Amino acid sequence: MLKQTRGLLLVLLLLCANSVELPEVKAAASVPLAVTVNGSLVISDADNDAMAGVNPTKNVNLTVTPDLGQTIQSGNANFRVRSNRSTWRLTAQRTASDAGGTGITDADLLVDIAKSAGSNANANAGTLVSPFTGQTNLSSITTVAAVDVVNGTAKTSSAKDNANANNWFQVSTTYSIQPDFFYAPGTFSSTVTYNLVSP
Amino acid sequence: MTFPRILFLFIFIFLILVFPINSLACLSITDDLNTPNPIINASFSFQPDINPFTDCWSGAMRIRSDKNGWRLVATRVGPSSSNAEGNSQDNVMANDITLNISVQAFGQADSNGAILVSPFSSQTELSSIQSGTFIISGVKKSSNSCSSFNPSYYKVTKKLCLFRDFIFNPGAYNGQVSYILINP
Repeated sequence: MLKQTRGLLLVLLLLCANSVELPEVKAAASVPLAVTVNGSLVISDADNDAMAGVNPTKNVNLTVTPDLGQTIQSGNANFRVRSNRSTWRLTAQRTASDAGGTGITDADLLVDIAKSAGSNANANAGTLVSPFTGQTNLSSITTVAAVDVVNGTAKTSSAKDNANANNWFQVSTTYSIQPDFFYAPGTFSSTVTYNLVSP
Repeated sequence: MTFPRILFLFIFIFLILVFPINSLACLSITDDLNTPNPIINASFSFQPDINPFTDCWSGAMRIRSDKNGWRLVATRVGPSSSNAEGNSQDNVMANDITLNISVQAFGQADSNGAILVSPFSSQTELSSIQSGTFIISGVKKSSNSCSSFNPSYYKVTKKLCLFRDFIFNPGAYNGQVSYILINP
């Protein structure tokens, strides 16, 4: 009787042991994920808003022929700014002008700066700094030190834009001169360099 | 005479309980260098720019099983940041990172022996991995051995990509995905 009971107990225990399928951890791997997002400051040519247009050189050529009825001559250089920094600045500095015998002075060249933004950009990400809030002239951009043109207080994007198609903050610069008979024939030249810096 | 037999019986039963038949199955995960239970670091150092649009990372692990039934599950934590500057809604999040998982069979492993479970059968986001998420259903063994150097295995390749979008806040983001191979 004892042997039969013991045998029965053994069979029952064996059945229990084999019917319990415990999902046991056998092997593991871990993938620690580290993503570092660095600050970025990019200037591109508004007319060539791609990698080929980054850090562009934009030539502005104004041809002035004094005459009765001639209107002011203008040319522009437009840039697109992108940054994920919460503070940034667009600064400008100028090389000494070469009047080239024209009699044109820095104050004769008018400068207008305007801002705009794409549909996925924040138009309020940057504000124009005085005196660039209105029309000024080339002498406002000095040769001795960089002057602030735009003060950026937020990142330029307002929404994700996987194609970078509409997340641009644009700075449009326009240079103008009156066709005055006072000016002598020749070529006036100067170079303005814009830099995007943070903070 | 009776006492040793009872003792033997209880030891036998104890061993069966402690080591059930399923535990006889072997399962292993290694990296491509055959390191068991590996830590595979996925690191992006990422700078928003106009082009190219994405930064990617890929890594692989090898799975070996000598039983036909096995499962790969995963649990994710993060990514999150303690130092990102800017509005937190512009932080890098798990649904910003695309995830592509692929499986290849090597050696004696059956090419149909490991099946990616939806949504991992096509490109998805890292956010698809939550807690104990079922990734792969293993229906065939890789071979009869789980030795780290056995040339028969299922290679699981993970590719993570992130758009270099200017919206993301600068900062360091950390997270972890833990993969567990279980039986059944």
